Amino acid sequence: MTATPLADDTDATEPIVLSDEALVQRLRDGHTDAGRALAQRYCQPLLRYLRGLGGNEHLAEELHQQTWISVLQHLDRFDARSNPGGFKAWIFRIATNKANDHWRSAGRERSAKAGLRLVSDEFSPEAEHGLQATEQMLKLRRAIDILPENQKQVVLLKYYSGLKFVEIAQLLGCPLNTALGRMHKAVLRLRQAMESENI
Amino acid sequence: MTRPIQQLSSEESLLLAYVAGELDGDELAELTRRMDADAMLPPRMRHLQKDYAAVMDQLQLLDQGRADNEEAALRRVDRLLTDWRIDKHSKRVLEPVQHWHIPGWSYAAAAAVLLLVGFCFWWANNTPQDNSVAIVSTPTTMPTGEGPLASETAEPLTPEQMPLAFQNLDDDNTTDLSDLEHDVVALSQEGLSANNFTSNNSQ
Repeated sequence: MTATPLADDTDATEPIVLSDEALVQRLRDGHTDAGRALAQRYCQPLLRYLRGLGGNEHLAEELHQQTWISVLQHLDRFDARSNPGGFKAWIFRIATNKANDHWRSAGRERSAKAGLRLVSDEFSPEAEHGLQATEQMLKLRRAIDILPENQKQVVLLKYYSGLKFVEIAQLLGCPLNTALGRMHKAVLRLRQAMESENI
Repeated sequence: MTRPIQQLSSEESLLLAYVAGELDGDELAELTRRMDADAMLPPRMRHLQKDYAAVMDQLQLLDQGRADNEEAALRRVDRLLTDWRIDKHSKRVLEPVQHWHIPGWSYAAAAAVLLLVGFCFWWANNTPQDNSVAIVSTPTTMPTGEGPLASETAEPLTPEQMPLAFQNLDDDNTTDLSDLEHDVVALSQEGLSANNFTSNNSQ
């Protein structure tokens, strides 16, 4: 996921593969095609990660846009040497912060929305996909929804970003032991939820 | 960066790091040593490995059943990039105007320099140029008719010492101080007569 083909301006005949850092440098120089390549590279994992955190397609799109606004605003400050996970860790950190900011500002509505989401899942368009899915998957989906926020972040970050736990710990600003502990608890809870009859 | 195994306080965390494939050669050797020492550790690791794989597989299946709206999200980012480029370009065009901007601290620095120059000018014009003024001021300690007698407060100058006292004065000062010179001579003579008077009385 760190390198995808990008048609270079200088040589249009043969597409070359650029790393994230090279694309960031080109974007700094004003080449928006590099920005498009980066957006394409991380669009799906970011959208899915944000949807997993927020549980809502529209909110995920909104947070994705806010993430990119922030990326462009702070592009000059990005330093690959100070970010062990590189651009990927940086953009996922921004996305996590955006999601946290959203929940902080809408804290009062959150519990009500979460409750509504659990009730309305059966009738929403997304739930139609769910009806076709196995019962096991529905259980997992609900189990993820009710995971504590910090455990949910670690599980989804690990799955969607593919970053190492050391990088995830740094991204979340917690010790490695804490990140691994959260993941361990989350795995046990999710496994338990999938095995249980009712959740 | 500190290596994971040094940070991991619990065995579960260590096992999870292993299951995720994030331990290097030395750390793997350390884990193998621990597993040899503790018979309960290998089954725990296998159980965790199974749970971890099951959760990751289910997450993958969950994503397959969902439709992403990537195109709409990418169109939004594309618009953002276009706006950002225009904004960046307009800033670049305005940049030469900003070269003439005078920083705020320069006003304070200029004021400080002006104050310093002013003080130097004032100091240069107010420094005493000649020590002879101190000699001129000696008559103020002379008796003026009030207070103690001259014999008790100051040693009176003899008429022979008077011209020497004024030898160092400039020509300009000599003309200005001519009246003062007469007063000093008169006062010294009064001092002499007072001394004569006291010596006569004591006899």
